[in-house]
Amino acid sequence: MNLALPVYISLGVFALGLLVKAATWLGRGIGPEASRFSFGSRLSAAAAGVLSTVFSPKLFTLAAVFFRDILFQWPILRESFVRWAMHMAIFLGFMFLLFFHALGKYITSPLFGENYAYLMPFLLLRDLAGVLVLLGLAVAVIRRFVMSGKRLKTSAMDVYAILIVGLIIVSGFVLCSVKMTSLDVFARMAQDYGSLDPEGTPDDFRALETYWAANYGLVSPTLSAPYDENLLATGEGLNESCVSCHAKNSKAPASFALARFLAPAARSVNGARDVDFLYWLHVLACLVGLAVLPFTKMFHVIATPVALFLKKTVGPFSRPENLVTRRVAELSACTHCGTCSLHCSAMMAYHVSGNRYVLPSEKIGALKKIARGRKLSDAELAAVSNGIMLCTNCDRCTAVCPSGLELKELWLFAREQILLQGRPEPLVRSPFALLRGLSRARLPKETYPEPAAAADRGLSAAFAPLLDADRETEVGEKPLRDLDPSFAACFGCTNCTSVCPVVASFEEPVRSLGLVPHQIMAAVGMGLSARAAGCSMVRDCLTCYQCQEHCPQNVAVTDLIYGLKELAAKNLETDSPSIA
Amino acid sequence: MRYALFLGCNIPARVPTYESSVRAVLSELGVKVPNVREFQPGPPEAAVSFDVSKVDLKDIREFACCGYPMRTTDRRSWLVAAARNMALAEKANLDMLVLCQCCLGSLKHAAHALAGDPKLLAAVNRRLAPHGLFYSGKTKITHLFSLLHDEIGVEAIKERVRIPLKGLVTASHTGCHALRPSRIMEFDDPLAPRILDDLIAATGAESAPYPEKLTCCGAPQTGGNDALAEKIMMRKIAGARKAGAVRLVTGCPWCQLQFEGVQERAAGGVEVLTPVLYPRLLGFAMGLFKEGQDLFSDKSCPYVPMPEEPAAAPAPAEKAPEKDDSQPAGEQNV
Repeated sequence: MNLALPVYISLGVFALGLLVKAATWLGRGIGPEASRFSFGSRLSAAAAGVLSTVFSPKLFTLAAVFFRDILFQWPILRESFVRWAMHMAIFLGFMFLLFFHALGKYITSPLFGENYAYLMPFLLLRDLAGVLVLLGLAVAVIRRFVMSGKRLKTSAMDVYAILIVGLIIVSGFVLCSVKMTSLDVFARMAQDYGSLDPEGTPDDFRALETYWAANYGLVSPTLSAPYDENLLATGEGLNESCVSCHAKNSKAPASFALARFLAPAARSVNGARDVDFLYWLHVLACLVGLAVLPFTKMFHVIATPVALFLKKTVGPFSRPENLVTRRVAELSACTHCGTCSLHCSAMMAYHVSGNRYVLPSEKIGALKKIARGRKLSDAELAAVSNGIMLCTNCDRCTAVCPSGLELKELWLFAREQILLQGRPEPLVRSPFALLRGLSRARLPKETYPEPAAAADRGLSAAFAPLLDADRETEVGEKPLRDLDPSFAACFGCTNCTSVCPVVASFEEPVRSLGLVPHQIMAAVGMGLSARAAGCSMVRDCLTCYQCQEHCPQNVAVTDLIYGLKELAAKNLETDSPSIA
Repeated sequence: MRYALFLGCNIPARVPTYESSVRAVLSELGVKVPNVREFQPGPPEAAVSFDVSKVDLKDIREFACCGYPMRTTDRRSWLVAAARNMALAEKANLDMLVLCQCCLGSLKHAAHALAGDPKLLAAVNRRLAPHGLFYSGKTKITHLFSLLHDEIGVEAIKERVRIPLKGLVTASHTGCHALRPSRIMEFDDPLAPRILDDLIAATGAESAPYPEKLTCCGAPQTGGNDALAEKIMMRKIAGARKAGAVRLVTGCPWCQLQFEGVQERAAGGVEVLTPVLYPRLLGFAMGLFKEGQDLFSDKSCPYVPMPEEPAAAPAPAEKAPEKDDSQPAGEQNV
């Protein structure tokens, strides 16, 4: 079978994949403002951005990025030496094999002659490159295995990446060693280069076969140690003409060792057809890996350098179209390495709640689905919106990301988009909302108020019936376990209400807030906690502790309101308010 | 005392000058501080009466969120997050020096809740065990202001002040979560706090009394109920301005960010007050910061140093406020 056809097919699919990816970068969007821009405007903005960068001094910055961050991979080294060594081993080993082995016909052959593959130093270097990649992969597997308890999630894509690289390298090694042991391969070489064959020149053939069995790892069905001294001596003489184009196989130590290891089994698996099978396995693994690369994690070899370039060229000063495009490109550049999640400030919220979308590395997965236009289930969407709000905006993920992703920007805009989709998210009425409030000038004006309004509607549903004077209200729910019992000491002096800065902000506090602090204490005392928790006083409470400080009865007013905030949120999340 | 410096989330990401000025100020006072960024040190011969060997500062990279914002929706997450940080300090045999009032409140509250409930403590420790941590409750939580006021002392600070800020009228904003509930916080007099005012006086500036001194900055409602947050803040600013203040002295990143958020509207005629973090005020009076002298640069509420004061006072700079030693956001928080 001809190699050219599969190579062209693979390259064609790969190129098509790149086009599709480029189209998704320009067509998909993250952020509430993304839908405003057409494909055309995104394309022209991107083209203008690229052109203005190429013809500017920025090019030197990008050159520095190329050498320091992409080739030397400084952002990984900054994070961890072991991980840098791991990634460098895979990167350098694979790049060597790609350029000097896979593309050897175009690069190595003109440099070192046609038989470079069987001569030193290439014979050794190829072997070492393979070992390097395997070592790197081993560290990667161990890391994924050991760190799994520490917020490092492993997805199917991570497993695929390790498997495809592993398959390419291992199949290469096995192919190489089986060829060393194969009598068929030996016979073909002896015929082609030495004009020896078992029928025409049986004695010479036998002598060289003996010599190769003793020194080259050849497994002969008819020979075994100890070898005939005379045959060996003759074989050595004949071999003189071979060594100029074929160094000893032991110069490739890993493959040679594997050949020795396989020797007992070799007789049954080293025929010409077995070698052919291994050859095609190796080649097809490479070609399939290349063809599907744009749609796998391995696309990071293209997308991550792009993201590192974008980090230096796209910022708040850029055209808004390019900001949207950058966010989508960054989703492809995430390697799911988990560095962000290992450092995430909100990590304990993940460990306690079990919501994986608290972790930045997992949010990316959800954002990819959302950008793709996939509909998330209600439960998943609720988990994602909870996870993206449960972010303290400490920006550590952005600071540590080895791919240079501007995650803080991604979260800021994705958050608004997600909050508009799902059910009301109570965390919008928590201090987690600080950053969206501080950044509101950068967020779309029309959609900004909606998430908080939706949360208010959802959270106040339980309270609404209390406002209906004609409606009977059941009082006397069981006291809630987590609520501070000090409310029982309240005698209604209204100190808490009179010192409350929130109450003081309204002309008609009761109308605006539903209940004021001393009324809330009374409601809790009457067993109306779940309903009282829905009044807007509970959400609007600043937790400044004025009320608690001034209570003559030592009622923990603020702590109780904290308890009600939590109760209201839990009731909204479960959709089954625990109302008596 | 040996402290682990606890920065929380907001400071490294959005208020890096708080961190850098604290490191500079404490270094200048003689404390051995790790990761100090460049500043202009004072003359080495200046005496400091405070025994610097008493304070030791360390960084713990693994610190994470104190739990404060989690408390609104999940008490367990809050307690476990707070306890994890305190357990990390405990493991390093350090107490915690906290710069943020909300972190301070969260940690002290959690410590209080766990101290009074052995079952809860055991439950929290079960959550910490997989991370190799154990919280026994021995970590002491201290705020920067307490360290400056009670351990280093106002007198020692005064000795290092080279540019007394004479004529600068400020309004002090201690921050709710440090002051209250006083039975847990044990920080300052909750009704008549004076720690921050003493510290301001040490710089030579004046702290004007104003009726809204104890009220909240509004930050906890920002993003959720912006109108309310702003109303609360603007009432406070108006009160402080009426008392003659030209700067608002803060000690919490939440309050600082909240007051900064309204600055840009000064151009539109809104009466604002420039917030200054106390260690920046102090560092400035110590002569540590060369550039970006935000004390002078704000035209909307100007401070003109009294003419008879030392010639050392630098001329007003025309620079934007709060951008002195720009540091990539988040870089120090890893």
